[in-house]
Amino acid sequence: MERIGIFGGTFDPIHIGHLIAAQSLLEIRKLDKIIFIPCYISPHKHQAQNSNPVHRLEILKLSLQYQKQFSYSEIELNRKDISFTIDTVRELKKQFDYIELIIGFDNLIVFDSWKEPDELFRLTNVVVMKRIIDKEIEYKHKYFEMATIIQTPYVELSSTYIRERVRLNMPIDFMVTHAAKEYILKNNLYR
Amino acid sequence: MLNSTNVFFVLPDPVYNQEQCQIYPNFTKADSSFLYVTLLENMYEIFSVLFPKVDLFVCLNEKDEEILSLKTSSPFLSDNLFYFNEDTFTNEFVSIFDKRKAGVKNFIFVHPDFVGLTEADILQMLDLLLLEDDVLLLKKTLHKKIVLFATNKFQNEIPRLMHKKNFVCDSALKKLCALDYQFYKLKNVFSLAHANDFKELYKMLSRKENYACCSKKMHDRFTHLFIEYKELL
Repeated sequence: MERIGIFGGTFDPIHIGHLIAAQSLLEIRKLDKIIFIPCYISPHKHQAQNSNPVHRLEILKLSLQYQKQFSYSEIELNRKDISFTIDTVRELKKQFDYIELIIGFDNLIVFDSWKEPDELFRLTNVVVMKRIIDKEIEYKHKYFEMATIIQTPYVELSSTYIRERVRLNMPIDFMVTHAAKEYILKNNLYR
Repeated sequence: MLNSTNVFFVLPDPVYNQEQCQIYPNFTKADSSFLYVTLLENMYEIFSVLFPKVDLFVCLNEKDEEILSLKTSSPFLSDNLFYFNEDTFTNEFVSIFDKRKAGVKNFIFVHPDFVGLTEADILQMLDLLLLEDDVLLLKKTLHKKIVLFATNKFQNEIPRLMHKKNFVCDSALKKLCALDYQFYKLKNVFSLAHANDFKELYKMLSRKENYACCSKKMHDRFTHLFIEYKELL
Protein backbone atom coordinates (compact mmCIF):
# COMPACT_ATOMS: atom_id res chain seq x y z
CA MET A 1 0.00 0.00 0.00
CA GLU A 2 1.33 3.41 -0.97
CA ARG A 3 2.18 5.58 2.02
CA ILE A 4 1.30 9.21 1.34
CA GLY A 5 2.11 12.26 3.42
CA ILE A 6 0.15 15.47 2.93
CA PHE A 7 1.75 18.75 3.88
CA GLY A 8 -0.41 21.86 3.80
CA GLY A 9 0.63 25.46 4.18
CA THR A 10 0.68 28.91 2.71
CA PHE A 11 4.03 28.31 1.00
CA ASP A 12 4.49 31.98 0.21
CA PRO A 13 7.11 31.14 -0.88
CA ILE A 14 8.09 27.57 -0.11
CA HIS A 15 11.63 27.65 1.26
CA ILE A 16 14.37 25.18 2.09
CA GLY A 17 13.13 24.84 5.67
CA HIS A 18 9.95 23.27 4.29
CA LEU A 19 11.92 21.04 1.93
CA ILE A 20 14.39 19.83 4.56
CA ALA A 21 11.56 19.04 6.99
CA ALA A 22 9.65 17.18 4.27
CA GLN A 23 12.70 15.18 3.19
CA SER A 24 13.34 14.25 6.81
CA LEU A 25 9.74 13.08 7.27
CA LEU A 26 9.87 11.11 4.05
CA GLU A 27 12.78 9.12 5.47
CA ILE A 28 11.68 8.83 9.10
CA ARG A 29 8.10 7.86 8.25
CA LYS A 30 9.15 5.72 5.25
CA LEU A 31 6.69 7.51 3.03
CA ASP A 32 6.47 6.89 -0.70
CA LYS A 33 5.42 10.42 -1.49
CA ILE A 34 4.67 13.78 0.09
CA ILE A 35 2.01 15.94 -1.49
CA PHE A 36 2.35 19.66 -0.82
CA ILE A 37 -1.01 21.39 -0.66
CA PRO A 38 -0.90 25.20 -0.85
CA CYS A 39 -3.90 26.68 0.91
CA TYR A 40 -6.22 29.30 -0.43
CA ILE A 41 -5.61 32.63 1.29
CA SER A 42 -8.52 34.84 2.18
CA PRO A 43 -8.73 38.38 0.80
CA HIS A 44 -7.92 39.56 4.36
CA LYS A 45 -4.56 37.92 4.09
CA HIS A 46 -3.90 39.27 0.61
CA GLN A 47 -3.41 42.62 2.26
CA ALA A 48 -0.45 41.13 4.03
CA GLN A 49 1.52 41.14 0.79
CA ASN A 50 0.75 37.54 -0.02
CA SER A 51 1.43 36.79 -3.63
CA ASN A 52 -1.38 35.47 -5.71
CA PRO A 53 -2.03 31.72 -5.90
CA VAL A 54 -0.61 31.41 -9.42
CA HIS A 55 2.81 32.60 -8.25
CA ARG A 56 2.77 30.53 -5.08
CA LEU A 57 1.94 27.45 -7.10
CA GLU A 58 4.58 28.11 -9.75
CA ILE A 59 7.28 28.57 -7.11
CA LEU A 60 6.12 25.36 -5.45
CA LYS A 61 6.31 23.42 -8.72
CA LEU A 62 9.78 24.76 -9.47
CA SER A 63 11.00 23.90 -5.99
CA LEU A 64 9.73 20.33 -6.07
CA GLN A 65 10.74 19.46 -9.62
CA TYR A 66 13.89 17.45 -8.88
CA GLN A 67 12.61 15.35 -5.98
CA LYS A 68 10.43 12.66 -7.53
CA GLN A 69 8.85 11.77 -4.19
CA PHE A 70 7.50 15.28 -3.77
CA SER A 71 4.39 16.37 -5.60
CA TYR A 72 1.66 18.96 -5.18
CA SER A 73 -2.09 19.29 -5.30
CA GLU A 74 -4.18 22.30 -6.27
CA ILE A 75 -7.21 20.93 -4.47
CA GLU A 76 -7.50 23.79 -1.95
CA LEU A 77 -6.58 26.53 -4.40
CA ASN A 78 -9.26 25.32 -6.78
CA ARG A 79 -11.95 25.65 -4.13
CA LYS A 80 -11.27 29.40 -4.07
CA ASP A 81 -12.41 29.59 -0.48
CA ILE A 82 -10.96 28.76 2.91
CA SER A 83 -10.73 24.98 3.15
CA PHE A 84 -11.12 22.75 6.12
CA THR A 85 -8.48 20.04 6.31
CA ILE A 86 -11.14 17.40 6.81
CA ASP A 87 -12.65 18.23 3.40
CA THR A 88 -9.25 17.93 1.74
CA VAL A 89 -8.53 14.64 3.48
CA ARG A 90 -11.90 13.19 2.48
CA GLU A 91 -11.20 14.12 -1.13
CA LEU A 92 -7.72 12.58 -1.09
CA LYS A 93 -8.96 9.43 0.61
CA LYS A 94 -10.78 8.63 -2.63
CA GLN A 95 -7.35 8.21 -4.23
CA PHE A 96 -5.13 7.01 -1.39
CA ASP A 97 -5.74 4.41 1.29
CA TYR A 98 -2.99 5.43 3.69
CA ILE A 99 -2.43 9.10 4.46
CA GLU A 100 -0.23 10.78 7.02
CA LEU A 101 -1.38 14.30 7.79
CA ILE A 102 1.72 16.39 8.46
CA ILE A 103 1.23 19.39 10.75
CA GLY A 104 3.42 21.72 12.79
CA PHE A 105 3.55 21.61 16.57
CA ASP A 106 1.66 24.91 16.72
CA ASN A 107 -1.25 23.31 14.92
CA LEU A 108 -1.28 20.42 17.34
CA ILE A 109 -1.78 22.92 20.18
CA VAL A 110 -5.00 24.14 18.55
CA PHE A 111 -6.01 20.84 16.99
CA ASP A 112 -9.07 20.60 19.23
CA SER A 113 -10.36 23.76 17.48
CA TRP A 114 -10.12 22.17 14.05
CA LYS A 115 -13.19 20.91 12.26
CA GLU A 116 -13.85 17.24 13.07
CA PRO A 117 -10.54 16.43 14.74
CA ASP A 118 -11.63 12.89 15.69
CA GLU A 119 -12.53 12.17 12.10
CA LEU A 120 -9.12 13.44 10.98
CA PHE A 121 -7.51 10.92 13.30
CA ARG A 122 -9.79 8.17 11.99
CA LEU A 123 -8.92 8.87 8.37
CA THR A 124 -5.21 9.67 8.74
CA ASN A 125 -2.21 9.20 10.94
CA VAL A 126 -1.46 12.69 12.22
CA VAL A 127 2.28 13.35 12.23
CA VAL A 128 3.53 16.41 14.08
CA MET A 129 6.81 18.13 13.27
CA LYS A 130 8.31 19.27 16.55
CA ARG A 131 11.22 21.64 16.22
CA ILE A 132 13.97 21.84 18.78
CA ILE A 133 12.84 25.37 19.62
CA ASP A 134 9.27 24.29 20.37
CA LYS A 135 8.85 24.56 24.13
CA GLU A 136 7.04 22.07 26.30
CA ILE A 137 3.52 23.17 26.80
CA GLU A 138 1.17 23.29 29.77
CA TYR A 139 -2.17 22.25 28.40
CA LYS A 140 -2.39 18.99 26.48
CA HIS A 141 -5.69 17.90 25.03
CA LYS A 142 -6.31 14.26 24.12
CA TYR A 143 -4.85 14.60 20.61
CA PHE A 144 -1.33 14.96 22.00
CA GLU A 145 -1.52 11.29 22.99
CA MET A 146 -2.95 10.25 19.65
CA ALA A 147 -0.51 12.08 17.37
CA THR A 148 2.88 10.82 16.21
CA ILE A 149 5.35 13.50 17.20
CA ILE A 150 8.60 13.61 15.24
CA GLN A 151 11.61 15.78 15.94
CA THR A 152 12.46 17.40 12.61
CA PRO A 153 15.49 19.49 11.67
CA TYR A 154 14.98 23.16 12.33
CA VAL A 155 16.08 25.84 9.90
CA GLU A 156 15.58 29.31 11.26
CA LEU A 157 13.83 30.70 8.24
CA SER A 158 10.36 31.93 7.44
CA SER A 159 8.50 32.97 4.33
CA THR A 160 7.89 36.36 5.93
CA TYR A 161 11.64 36.84 6.36
CA ILE A 162 12.28 35.90 2.74
CA ARG A 163 9.64 38.31 1.45
CA GLU A 164 11.11 41.05 3.61
CA ARG A 165 14.60 40.39 2.26
CA VAL A 166 13.32 40.61 -1.30
CA ARG A 167 11.55 43.85 -0.48
CA LEU A 168 14.82 45.25 0.86
CA ASN A 169 16.75 44.06 -2.22
CA MET A 170 18.74 41.59 -0.15
CA PRO A 171 19.85 38.21 -1.56
CA ILE A 172 17.76 35.09 -0.88
CA ASP A 173 20.27 32.57 -2.23
CA PHE A 174 20.24 29.25 -0.34
CA MET A 175 16.94 30.19 1.32
CA VAL A 176 14.82 29.07 -1.60
CA THR A 177 15.81 26.86 -4.54
CA HIS A 178 17.66 28.53 -7.36
CA ALA A 179 14.68 28.16 -9.72
CA ALA A 180 12.37 29.70 -7.10
CA LYS A 181 14.72 32.62 -6.62
CA GLU A 182 14.87 33.26 -10.35
CA TYR A 183 11.09 33.15 -10.61
CA ILE A 184 10.61 35.56 -7.69
CA LEU A 185 13.03 38.08 -9.14
CA LYS A 186 11.79 37.74 -12.72
CA ASN A 187 8.21 38.38 -11.63
CA ASN A 188 9.13 41.17 -9.28
CA LEU A 189 7.31 39.58 -6.35
CA TYR A 190 7.09 40.89 -2.76
CA ARG A 191 8.15 44.40 -3.69
CA MET B 1 11.38 40.30 28.59
CA LEU B 2 9.14 39.15 31.42
CA ASN B 3 7.37 35.84 31.11
CA SER B 4 4.09 37.17 32.36
CA THR B 5 1.27 37.97 29.96
CA ASN B 6 -0.62 41.22 30.37
CA VAL B 7 -4.35 40.75 30.11
CA PHE B 8 -6.52 43.81 29.47
CA PHE B 9 -10.25 43.61 30.13
CA VAL B 10 -11.79 46.39 28.11
CA LEU B 11 -15.36 47.55 28.68
CA PRO B 12 -16.25 50.63 26.67
CA ASP B 13 -19.78 50.77 28.12
CA PRO B 14 -20.57 51.24 31.81
CA VAL B 15 -21.53 48.03 33.61
CA TYR B 16 -21.53 48.86 37.34
CA ASN B 17 -23.57 52.01 36.85
CA GLN B 18 -27.13 50.75 36.59
CA GLU B 19 -28.46 54.02 35.22
CA GLN B 20 -25.93 54.13 32.40
CA CYS B 21 -25.39 50.50 31.53
CA GLN B 22 -26.83 48.94 28.39
CA ILE B 23 -30.17 47.26 28.92
CA TYR B 24 -30.25 43.57 28.13
CA PRO B 25 -33.53 42.74 26.30
CA ASN B 26 -36.43 42.27 28.74
CA PHE B 27 -34.22 42.91 31.79
CA THR B 28 -34.49 45.73 34.30
CA LYS B 29 -31.60 48.21 34.51
CA ALA B 30 -30.43 46.66 37.77
CA ASP B 31 -30.47 43.14 36.42
CA SER B 32 -28.78 44.17 33.17
CA SER B 33 -25.98 45.63 35.25
CA PHE B 34 -25.89 42.49 37.40
CA LEU B 35 -25.62 40.34 34.26
CA TYR B 36 -22.78 42.32 32.67
CA VAL B 37 -20.89 42.63 35.95
CA THR B 38 -21.19 38.88 36.47
CA LEU B 39 -19.83 38.22 32.98
CA LEU B 40 -16.87 40.52 33.69
CA GLU B 41 -16.14 39.20 37.16
CA ASN B 42 -16.50 35.60 36.00
CA MET B 43 -13.93 36.15 33.27
CA TYR B 44 -11.64 37.98 35.68
CA GLU B 45 -11.92 35.12 38.16
CA ILE B 46 -11.01 32.50 35.52
CA PHE B 47 -7.91 34.45 34.49
CA SER B 48 -6.96 35.20 38.11
CA VAL B 49 -6.36 31.52 38.81
CA LEU B 50 -3.34 31.71 36.54
CA PHE B 51 -1.56 34.50 38.43
CA PRO B 52 1.46 35.10 38.24
CA LYS B 53 1.54 33.82 34.69
CA VAL B 54 -0.86 36.63 33.93
CA ASP B 55 -1.16 40.22 35.13
CA LEU B 56 -4.70 41.52 34.93
CA PHE B 57 -5.74 45.07 34.06
CA VAL B 58 -9.30 46.33 33.94
CA CYS B 59 -10.34 49.32 31.82
CA LEU B 60 -13.80 50.59 32.68
CA ASN B 61 -15.94 53.48 31.59
CA GLU B 62 -15.54 56.48 33.92
CA LYS B 63 -19.28 56.34 34.65
CA ASP B 64 -18.54 53.21 36.69
CA GLU B 65 -15.94 54.87 38.90
CA GLU B 66 -18.18 56.34 41.56
CA ILE B 67 -20.27 53.18 41.91
CA LEU B 68 -17.26 50.93 42.16
CA SER B 69 -15.55 53.21 44.67
CA LEU B 70 -18.53 52.82 47.00
CA LYS B 71 -18.11 49.07 47.14
CA THR B 72 -16.51 47.87 50.35
CA SER B 73 -14.31 45.42 48.49
CA SER B 74 -13.37 45.83 44.87
CA PRO B 75 -12.91 42.67 42.88
CA PHE B 76 -9.95 44.28 41.10
CA LEU B 77 -6.51 45.45 42.21
CA SER B 78 -6.67 49.22 42.49
CA ASP B 79 -3.29 49.72 40.78
CA ASN B 80 -4.54 47.76 37.81
CA LEU B 81 -7.89 49.46 37.44
CA PHE B 82 -8.36 52.31 34.96
CA TYR B 83 -11.27 54.48 33.95
CA PHE B 84 -11.66 56.27 30.68
CA ASN B 85 -13.94 58.73 28.99
CA GLU B 86 -15.89 57.00 26.24
CA ASP B 87 -15.47 59.87 23.78
CA THR B 88 -11.71 59.69 23.99
CA PHE B 89 -11.61 55.99 24.63
CA THR B 90 -9.07 54.95 22.02
CA ASN B 91 -6.53 57.63 22.91
CA GLU B 92 -6.92 57.01 26.63
CA PHE B 93 -6.53 53.30 26.11
CA VAL B 94 -3.34 53.83 24.14
CA SER B 95 -2.05 55.98 26.98
CA ILE B 96 -2.96 53.38 29.64
CA PHE B 97 -1.46 50.67 27.54
CA ASP B 98 1.81 52.51 26.89
CA LYS B 99 2.45 52.80 30.62
CA ARG B 100 1.94 49.09 31.13
CA LYS B 101 3.67 47.44 28.23
CA ALA B 102 7.31 47.92 29.22
CA GLY B 103 9.19 44.65 29.34
CA VAL B 104 6.17 42.55 28.50
CA LYS B 105 5.95 40.59 25.29
CA ASN B 106 2.59 38.86 25.43
CA PHE B 107 -0.79 40.56 25.53
CA ILE B 108 -4.37 39.41 25.69
CA PHE B 109 -7.26 41.83 25.15
CA VAL B 110 -10.68 40.74 26.29
CA HIS B 111 -14.12 42.22 25.88
CA PRO B 112 -15.70 40.24 28.70
CA ASP B 113 -19.33 39.98 27.66
CA PHE B 114 -19.20 36.26 27.01
CA VAL B 115 -18.92 32.88 28.66
CA GLY B 116 -17.29 29.70 27.46
CA LEU B 117 -13.66 30.31 28.31
CA THR B 118 -11.99 27.87 30.68
CA GLU B 119 -8.65 27.74 32.45
CA ALA B 120 -7.56 25.11 29.89
CA ASP B 121 -8.41 27.48 27.04
CA ILE B 122 -6.25 30.18 28.62
CA LEU B 123 -3.34 27.78 29.11
CA GLN B 124 -3.67 26.86 25.45
CA MET B 125 -3.45 30.53 24.52
CA LEU B 126 -0.40 31.04 26.74
CA ASP B 127 1.24 28.04 25.03
CA LEU B 128 0.61 29.57 21.62
CA LEU B 129 1.99 32.93 22.76
CA LEU B 130 5.23 31.17 23.70
CA LEU B 131 5.82 30.02 20.12
CA GLU B 132 8.81 31.52 18.37
CA ASP B 133 6.64 32.80 15.53
CA ASP B 134 4.76 36.10 15.67
CA VAL B 135 1.36 34.96 16.73
CA LEU B 136 -2.10 36.49 16.65
CA LEU B 137 -4.96 34.66 18.35
CA LEU B 138 -8.61 35.47 17.85
CA LYS B 139 -11.66 34.31 19.67
CA LYS B 140 -15.09 35.07 18.28
CA THR B 141 -18.60 34.59 19.55
CA LEU B 142 -21.14 32.44 17.78
CA HIS B 143 -22.45 35.77 16.44
CA LYS B 144 -19.03 36.27 14.75
CA LYS B 145 -18.02 39.16 16.99
CA ILE B 146 -14.42 39.27 18.16
CA VAL B 147 -14.28 39.21 21.95
CA LEU B 148 -10.65 38.33 22.54
CA PHE B 149 -7.41 38.74 20.74
CA ALA B 150 -3.89 38.04 21.82
CA THR B 151 -0.40 38.47 20.45
CA ASN B 152 3.23 37.90 21.31
CA LYS B 153 4.38 40.70 19.05
CA PHE B 154 3.23 44.15 19.97
CA GLN B 155 2.69 46.66 17.21
CA ASN B 156 1.68 50.24 17.79
CA GLU B 157 -1.48 49.75 15.77
CA ILE B 158 -2.92 47.20 18.18
CA PRO B 159 -4.31 49.37 20.99
CA ARG B 160 -5.61 51.75 18.35
CA LEU B 161 -7.78 48.99 16.96
CA MET B 162 -9.97 49.08 20.04
CA HIS B 163 -13.25 50.45 18.93
CA LYS B 164 -15.64 52.10 21.30
CA LYS B 165 -18.68 50.13 20.24
CA ASN B 166 -17.40 46.94 18.68
CA PHE B 167 -14.24 46.19 20.67
CA VAL B 168 -12.54 45.15 17.44
CA CYS B 169 -14.56 45.88 14.35
CA ASP B 170 -14.26 44.11 11.00
CA SER B 171 -12.15 46.79 9.37
CA ALA B 172 -9.79 46.54 12.32
CA LEU B 173 -9.61 42.80 11.79
CA LYS B 174 -8.43 43.39 8.23
CA LYS B 175 -5.71 45.66 9.60
CA LEU B 176 -4.69 43.03 12.13
CA CYS B 177 -4.46 40.35 9.48
CA ALA B 178 -2.34 42.63 7.35
CA LEU B 179 0.35 42.73 10.02
CA ASP B 180 1.82 39.43 8.90
CA TYR B 181 1.19 37.30 11.95
CA GLN B 182 0.79 33.58 12.25
CA PHE B 183 -2.91 33.61 12.78
CA TYR B 184 -4.96 31.21 14.91
CA LYS B 185 -8.70 31.26 15.28
CA LEU B 186 -9.64 29.58 18.53
CA LYS B 187 -12.84 27.86 19.59
CA ASN B 188 -15.88 30.11 19.58
CA VAL B 189 -17.46 31.35 22.78
CA PHE B 190 -20.96 32.40 23.69
CA SER B 191 -22.01 36.02 24.14
CA LEU B 192 -25.22 37.62 25.27
CA ALA B 193 -26.26 39.89 22.46
CA HIS B 194 -29.86 39.02 21.67
CA ALA B 195 -32.96 38.26 23.74
CA ASN B 196 -32.86 34.55 22.94
CA ASP B 197 -29.25 34.24 24.10
CA PHE B 198 -30.35 34.19 27.72
CA LYS B 199 -32.16 30.91 27.15
CA GLU B 200 -29.08 29.56 25.36
CA LEU B 201 -26.93 30.62 28.30
CA TYR B 202 -29.17 28.65 30.61
CA LYS B 203 -28.88 25.56 28.41
CA MET B 204 -25.15 25.98 28.11
CA LEU B 205 -24.45 26.36 31.81
CA SER B 206 -26.70 23.38 32.56
CA ARG B 207 -24.42 21.06 30.61
CA LYS B 208 -21.82 19.18 32.60
CA GLU B 209 -19.04 19.80 30.08
CA ASN B 210 -19.39 23.55 30.67
CA TYR B 211 -18.96 23.47 34.43
CA ALA B 212 -15.40 24.75 34.00
CA CYS B 213 -16.74 27.96 32.43
CA CYS B 214 -17.61 29.46 35.80
CA SER B 215 -17.15 28.86 39.51
CA LYS B 216 -19.92 27.77 41.86
CA LYS B 217 -20.16 31.36 43.11
CA MET B 218 -20.61 32.71 39.59
CA HIS B 219 -22.98 29.92 38.68
CA ASP B 220 -25.14 30.95 41.63
CA ARG B 221 -25.20 34.51 40.34
CA PHE B 222 -26.34 33.37 36.91
CA THR B 223 -28.89 31.11 38.60
CA HIS B 224 -30.32 34.12 40.42
CA LEU B 225 -31.07 35.62 36.99
CA PHE B 226 -32.45 32.36 35.63
CA ILE B 227 -34.94 32.29 38.52
CA GLU B 228 -35.75 35.96 38.16
CA TYR B 229 -36.44 35.62 34.44
CA LYS B 230 -37.67 32.03 34.25
CA GLU B 231 -40.39 33.05 31.80
CA LEU B 232 -37.63 33.77 29.25
CA LEU B 233 -36.22 30.25 29.48
